Amino acid sequence: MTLAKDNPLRSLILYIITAILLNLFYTHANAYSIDRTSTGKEIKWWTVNVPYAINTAGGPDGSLLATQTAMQTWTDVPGSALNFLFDGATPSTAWGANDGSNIVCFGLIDEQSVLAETLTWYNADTGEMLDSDLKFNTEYSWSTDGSAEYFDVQNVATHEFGHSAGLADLYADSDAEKTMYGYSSKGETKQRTLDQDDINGVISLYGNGDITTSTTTTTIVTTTTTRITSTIPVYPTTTVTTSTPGTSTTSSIPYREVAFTGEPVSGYLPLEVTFTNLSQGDIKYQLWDFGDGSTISVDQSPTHTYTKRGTFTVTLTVVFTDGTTLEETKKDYISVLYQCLFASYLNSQQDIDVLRKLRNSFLDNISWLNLFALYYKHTSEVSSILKEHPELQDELRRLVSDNKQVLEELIILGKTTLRADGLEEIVSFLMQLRERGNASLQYDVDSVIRRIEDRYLLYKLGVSVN
Amino acid sequence: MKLNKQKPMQRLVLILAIVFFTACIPCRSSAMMATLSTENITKASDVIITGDVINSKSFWSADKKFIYTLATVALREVIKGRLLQDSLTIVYEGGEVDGIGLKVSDVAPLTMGETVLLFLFPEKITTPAMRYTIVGKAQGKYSIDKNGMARKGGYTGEDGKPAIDHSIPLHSLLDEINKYDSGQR
Repeated sequence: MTLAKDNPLRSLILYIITAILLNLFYTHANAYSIDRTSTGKEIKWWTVNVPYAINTAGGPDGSLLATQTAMQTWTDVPGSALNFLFDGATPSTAWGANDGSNIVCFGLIDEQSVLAETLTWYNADTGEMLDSDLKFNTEYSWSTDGSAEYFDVQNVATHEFGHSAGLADLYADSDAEKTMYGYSSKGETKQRTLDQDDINGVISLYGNGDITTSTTTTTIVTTTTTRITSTIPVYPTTTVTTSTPGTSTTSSIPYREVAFTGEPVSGYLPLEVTFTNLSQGDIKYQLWDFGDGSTISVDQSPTHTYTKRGTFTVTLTVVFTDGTTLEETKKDYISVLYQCLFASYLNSQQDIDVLRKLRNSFLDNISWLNLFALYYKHTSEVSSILKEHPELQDELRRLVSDNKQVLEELIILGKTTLRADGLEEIVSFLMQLRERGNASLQYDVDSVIRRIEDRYLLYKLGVSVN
Repeated sequence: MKLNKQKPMQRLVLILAIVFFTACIPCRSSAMMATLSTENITKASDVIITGDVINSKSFWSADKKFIYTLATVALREVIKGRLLQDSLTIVYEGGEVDGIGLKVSDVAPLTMGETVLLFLFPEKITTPAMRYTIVGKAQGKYSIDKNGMARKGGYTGEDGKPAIDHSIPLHSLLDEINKYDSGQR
């Protein structure tokens, strides 16, 4: 107000000039827009080599080429090191899975108004992308020739790969000719071609001096038995041949291996397992799938707590600095059990047979608890066993005597349960036998353990287990 | 002298105000969608409200393979629908939890402290507490700035620009909504 009173016309001119300058400034600043994490970190690929596998099932003829061309459009940006690499055709429809495998596919999307959708997983602390998948909604009609009545695959794909690169939509009228402009229409093909601002955007993300565009091609000389989830250059041993036009060189590549261990691999709920990453090579990061449906971990050697029973397959996927991934899967690696009832497990002849087999196989490992259970639940069987193995009689008597308290508790509980710590011991014993036994014995032991666990569940639910 | 000293200061305040205003334009994300006009999105919504985002928390899906976010919006005004409560819980895809982030290209996140106008319908999945999802994902969210402008973005539409109110004074948007809503009743 003071300014206006002083010299209104001068002030007005000043305001207008300021507004114009600011408008120019922000028009330039918004020439491209970058996606960011909640803390403001740029969401971008940590590597310049980003493989995409393509599933064209459900798409129009020519979808593969159209999608590859869209990828190449971004790869060809001068001054940007980002390379979208064709990772082969795939039958995968694992759109949105954080599995380290980027895919493009066609299919229905729940939200019908969506033409195409990109789901991107990233490290929330660093903004580094971990996985990005693109889906075209087959609710709509697609073509690859720019037909007026269809949406153009290449047009939309180029836009969506801009999102994969880390660029966001633009909406200003001045953005209308840009690939990242927020609107498109049937038959439109103009977004196939990048505007200078689209180019500037991707250069701002991938154009620093630390990374350069590679024009070399790589021939894999040796292979590995580990499953390779990417077809971009892999260096499983030590020697590869690289070539550029007119030259050919041989170079050493770091040895790469993926391996891990866990400790312990069996036990009771909740089971805390410490995994150790033994992988070697130029590792960028790793993804741990603990097999229980829990969060994927990116820690190097994580500790994970299993909170449900069962056997779990653990997979470690290692991502190397050039985007190559190797993985190791250990099937049924972790066994988690309830702390459970034992006494009532000996309720069938089959159980008795299993126990007898256990005893005969691992006589020196037999614990007082299984003898205890035998003694009180199946005396005839115990007598039979003891008759065969008289050396156990004294041991049994001694164990019963030493565990009088447990016996009393057993009586109080109606001879159907044993104390929890005793149950832990007996199941631990069974697990040891399982580890040492052959496949047949392992199956039998698993069967018994499952019954124990089921009975434990019933017990917890207040259902009689007798 | 005093006046001369005040002028630059006031100019600076003005410039800062313009900068602040411009910087407050919400960030946009991505996607490719068929556009919903204000008329269509109004008719497609069970509930339309304005309010303030007072809480936001991301969580894993039951199978631990997807991230969702629950946002609580304190209600300022119920434009369409009947609500007895003072706040609504909105669920949308994406978010950040346990150091992992999921960005869904056509979802515009609700951020704490943001004033919004939302087009909603009840979540399809039955839950103990009623939750709502946003109609048309990012298309169903307007962010309202302190100057009363309602803006939306975060999606890419099917050349529906003339039909949608991308940046509009809130009172004008409310007039339009009421017009289409009353026409529907």
